[in-house]
Amino acid sequence: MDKNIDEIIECYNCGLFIKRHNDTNTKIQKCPRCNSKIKAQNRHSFDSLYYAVSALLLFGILNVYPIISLNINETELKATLIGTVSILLEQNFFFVALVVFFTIILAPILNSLVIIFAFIQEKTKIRLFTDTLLHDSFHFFKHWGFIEVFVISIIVTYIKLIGMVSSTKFDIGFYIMLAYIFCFYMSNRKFVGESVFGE
Amino acid sequence: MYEKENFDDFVCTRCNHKVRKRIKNSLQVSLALTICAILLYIPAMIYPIMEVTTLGVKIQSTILEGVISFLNMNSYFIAIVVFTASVIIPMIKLLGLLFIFISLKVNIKMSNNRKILIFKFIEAIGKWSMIDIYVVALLASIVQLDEVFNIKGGIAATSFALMVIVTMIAANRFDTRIIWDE
Repeated sequence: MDKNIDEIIECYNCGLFIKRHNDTNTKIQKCPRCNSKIKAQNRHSFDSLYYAVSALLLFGILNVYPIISLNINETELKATLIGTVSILLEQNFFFVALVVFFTIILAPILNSLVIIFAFIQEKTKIRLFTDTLLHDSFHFFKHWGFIEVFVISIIVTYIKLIGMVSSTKFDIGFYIMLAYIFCFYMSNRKFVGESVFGE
Repeated sequence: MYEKENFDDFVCTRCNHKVRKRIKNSLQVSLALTICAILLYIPAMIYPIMEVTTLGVKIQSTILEGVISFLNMNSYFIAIVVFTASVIIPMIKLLGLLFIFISLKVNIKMSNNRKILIFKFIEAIGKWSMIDIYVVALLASIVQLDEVFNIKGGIAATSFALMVIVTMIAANRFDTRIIWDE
């Protein structure tokens, strides 16, 4: 016997099948069994694309400027985003370098690129990637991008260094990174992964 | 509520992924990864995570020694942040996951809602353990004055990073719906 399952959604946390609320005003529905939030499909907005493009541009600029700098005996020492990865490679920490590179550089960049490509494919006839690949990549890179953790690490590093060298200061790169984080966060918040399927 | 009649695997027509009732071998894989992470946590705590050279004198420090150095510098807030991120959070994650897995096999008096809450908390805090790894990477990249003043990563960095990643995969691979299965 056929049943109309358009109104049925599954709670991802406990697997219960629930009838979707028809009330369009309530975006979030709660599971009656485990009380988890069940997100109703939101329409994603173009803002996500603008934020993703801005995030990518800021990321490019961010790599040019140092994040933290200090001065010891007239010698200027600086830390850049790429520098943190390359020094780990120089010290033969290949796995740690790979993890750091992936979580703070590759995953955030690819996350923004996926959002941009999703919009390109949605609005034009260009088909560079399959919808499934875009959808899965978006969720994967969103999960494995740790750039916000890195910002807290910069603050911890600054406090640790200022205890040793008083000339330690946040450089331009750090402030650009704060703007970048905002754009990156907003682009993810306003993007709905399922929208790549065009329904 | 809707009762599904057939739980056979099928392929989703929209995304082409195989749809299963539950993720295959979810508990076994997650449990194996959690045990692996517990084993990695031991060298991460015992071995030095950082090596500081000042005027030719090398001092190696473990995660806990790093926290103590922050306390000595009167940076109590940062000491708490590092201690929480590098010691407390990994421990909560590992013990929490282990507890949930054991509770599925052993009768423990705790509601499923609470187990889900614990799991969600573990998932949310997962990546914050990476703070120490990033701090070491940043310090190593900035402080490079040969024998005068130099900071290098220690061997615990690799096991700690591995432990964080393995724990995250374990949490990610676990299908919470099996908590509700009879």
